[in-house]
Amino acid sequence: MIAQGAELRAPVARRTHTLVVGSGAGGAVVAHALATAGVETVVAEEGGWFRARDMSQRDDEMLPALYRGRAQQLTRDGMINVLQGSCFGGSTVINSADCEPTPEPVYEHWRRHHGLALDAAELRESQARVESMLGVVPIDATQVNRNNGLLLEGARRLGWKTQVFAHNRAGCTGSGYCLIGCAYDAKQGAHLNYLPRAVEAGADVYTDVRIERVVPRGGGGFLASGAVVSRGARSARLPFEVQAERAVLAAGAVHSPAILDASGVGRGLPALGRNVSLQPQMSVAALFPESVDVVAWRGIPQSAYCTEFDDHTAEHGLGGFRFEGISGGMSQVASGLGGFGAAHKETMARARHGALALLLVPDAPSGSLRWTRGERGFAPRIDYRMREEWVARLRRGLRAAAQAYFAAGAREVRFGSEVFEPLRGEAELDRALAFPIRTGVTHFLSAHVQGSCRMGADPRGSVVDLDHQVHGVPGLYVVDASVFPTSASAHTMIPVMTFADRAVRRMLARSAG
Amino acid sequence: MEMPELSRRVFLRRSVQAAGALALLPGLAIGCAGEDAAGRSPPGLVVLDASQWVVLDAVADAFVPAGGAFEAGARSVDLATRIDAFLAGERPDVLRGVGAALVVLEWLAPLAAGRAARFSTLDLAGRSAAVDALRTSRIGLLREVYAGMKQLCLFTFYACDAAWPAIGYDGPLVGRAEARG
Ligand SMILES: Cc1cc2nc3c(=O)[nH]c(=O)nc-3n(C[C@H](O)[C@H](O)[C@H](O)COP(=O)(O)OP(=O)(O)OC[C@H]3O[C@@H](n4cnc5c(N)ncnc54)[C@H](O)[C@@H]3O)c2cc1C
Ligand code: SF4
Repeated sequence: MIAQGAELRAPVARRTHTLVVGSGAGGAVVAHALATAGVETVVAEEGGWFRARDMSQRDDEMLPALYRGRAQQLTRDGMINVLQGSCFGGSTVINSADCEPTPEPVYEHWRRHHGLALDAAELRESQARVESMLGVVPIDATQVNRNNGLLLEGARRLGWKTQVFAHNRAGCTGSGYCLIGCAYDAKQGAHLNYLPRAVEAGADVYTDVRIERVVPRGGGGFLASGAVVSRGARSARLPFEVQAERAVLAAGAVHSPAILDASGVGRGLPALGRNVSLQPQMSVAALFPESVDVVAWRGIPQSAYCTEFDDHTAEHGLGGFRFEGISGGMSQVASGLGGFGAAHKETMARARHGALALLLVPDAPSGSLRWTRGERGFAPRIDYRMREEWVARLRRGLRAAAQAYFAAGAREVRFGSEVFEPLRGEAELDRALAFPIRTGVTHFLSAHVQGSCRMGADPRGSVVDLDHQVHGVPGLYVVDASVFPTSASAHTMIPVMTFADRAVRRMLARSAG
Repeated sequence: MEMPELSRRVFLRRSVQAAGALALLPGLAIGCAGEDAAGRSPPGLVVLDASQWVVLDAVADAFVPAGGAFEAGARSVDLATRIDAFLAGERPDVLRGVGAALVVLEWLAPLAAGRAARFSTLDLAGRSAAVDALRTSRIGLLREVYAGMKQLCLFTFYACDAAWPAIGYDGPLVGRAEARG
């Protein structure tokens, strides 16, 4: 069954074998495998359940409905908007459906530098199961829109390597609204496969339910407590309690550690909430002559990227930088474009001729989290420090992305800044190497927050062991983007699901053994 | 890349203690946008009071003035009232931050641009200069007020159907006879 918060009229107190907190990439995979194996499973999801018919394709309605903090979850310095989905299916409902597994050099980096004895065959099997469930296929060349095509064109003219993504879409009409939920059930998020199949197999899912504490009980098992919350404001409406033998936190990299912290489990785990990677991204907007009708907002928003500068090694893990086509709603595009007033209107009036990309620069873990808890749940404080080496890569990346656009015929290129004058031709490219980073006027976004409950063998430097079990707390697991020791991939859905598939099989093997 | 402590304080989702502290400064209460604020603001505001609405209306008009590349502007879509409705679901700390940002705009922004008058009494050129002074300020908090207000005004303006024809956006496809790619 799926019970939505509004249907609940009295406090809920339940018993189950396994409680899964969060129904996103990690939680959905776990819930499905457990329920299919006959384990009594309850899933609690703080966000609401939205179906294709609810997706209005309007930024002002869907961003507040589907995202954490109305899509305004910022780092403490205000510079990075840390985006996370928060609904039935989690971020898989609002992501751009790019399917990219963890590159082998990253696994090797984790083996060598983080002591993770990861078995390649086991990971391959998990990844294959995930890709099969999501229906991952390469994006057909005919589905690459002009916006992404211009990026490919420019990069190829410069002799740079490019690639078209694999994705989990079926029957996509190219409406362009992936980031605010697919109204056609074409994007195969976890809400359309893992979760309904988990429910068919007997799992009970509660939406609009926030778990705040998962406390180990003297005699074994856990008492999880929280609240049924109102849709939208997320104010506590009714108490919600579950007694479970096992608890799996899959609330995402900002909130799983918050629950551990609030439950008192964090004591003795100094790495809790630390080693956070945000993999910040910056917008690169190119204006083309009026003869070039880009219409970036139609078609698959993100289908192509330039791989020339990917630099993944076993020594440092994910590295280099890459730029990928993207589009978003007009409200998002407008508020991210520098300037205001008449000049801003002039730029917007030429929107049809604008192309947009995101520069993605993998980071070494550089952030940390703290939380306060109030009537509307956890309020995270996300601290993030940009390292000099990272900033230098960012600037080189901005220069390269602009170069690709000029090679494709762009007249001017802008970055996510309120003060940086647009580049007006190749002769100005080197200005990008001095791109200023200042609070209030430099805008980044993050779609891949990871690492707050790092996996490792040593409780002094990690939070969960190789089976995802919290050090020193048998039966309590973290299975989401929190566990990666460093950034897993330029796109983290398949990596999270692959790890979740591996984790739940280990859980099942352990209980069978 | 360490930032000075002051500039770490940001409004909207950002640390709101700073904004709250600003709101406490003597003489900086927002209820100063003119005695006739109640008469100038629309009835039925959800989160803003009348004087906050008056300031926001002036701010929104500076961010999205009428005319220029296309006719529609903040006032033609009653942007301040739309923002009031959009803010309805926000957390109380965020709303306090918005209130404090309006105080900064009404009182400090003109000073930053060298004008000794309240923001809401300035003409468009004066208000644009004041907003620009925030954008280019050396004080992080002022730049952050600029960024927060800009986000609010431009996001909400371009969410309006009335803004779309001028930029060539044909709007949502749902509800149409057939979804077009
Ligand atoms: C805008 C955007 C675009 C992206 N694009 C891509 C892409 O194209 N390809 C790709 O591979 N990856 C992409 N990602 C990243 C990918 O979707 C995420 O890394 C992945 O979904 C994370 O999985 P997770 O299980 O950690 O968390 P999520 O999938 O975010 O799920 C966590 C869930 O837990 C719930 N929750 C949180 N706290 C509680 C609580 N206290 N009680 C109950 N429930 C709670 C949340 O509401 C949420 O639904 C994108 C992400 C974003 C934000
Ligand atoms: S582009 Fe395709 S997958 Fe994305 S919202 Fe439109 S139809 Fe759905």
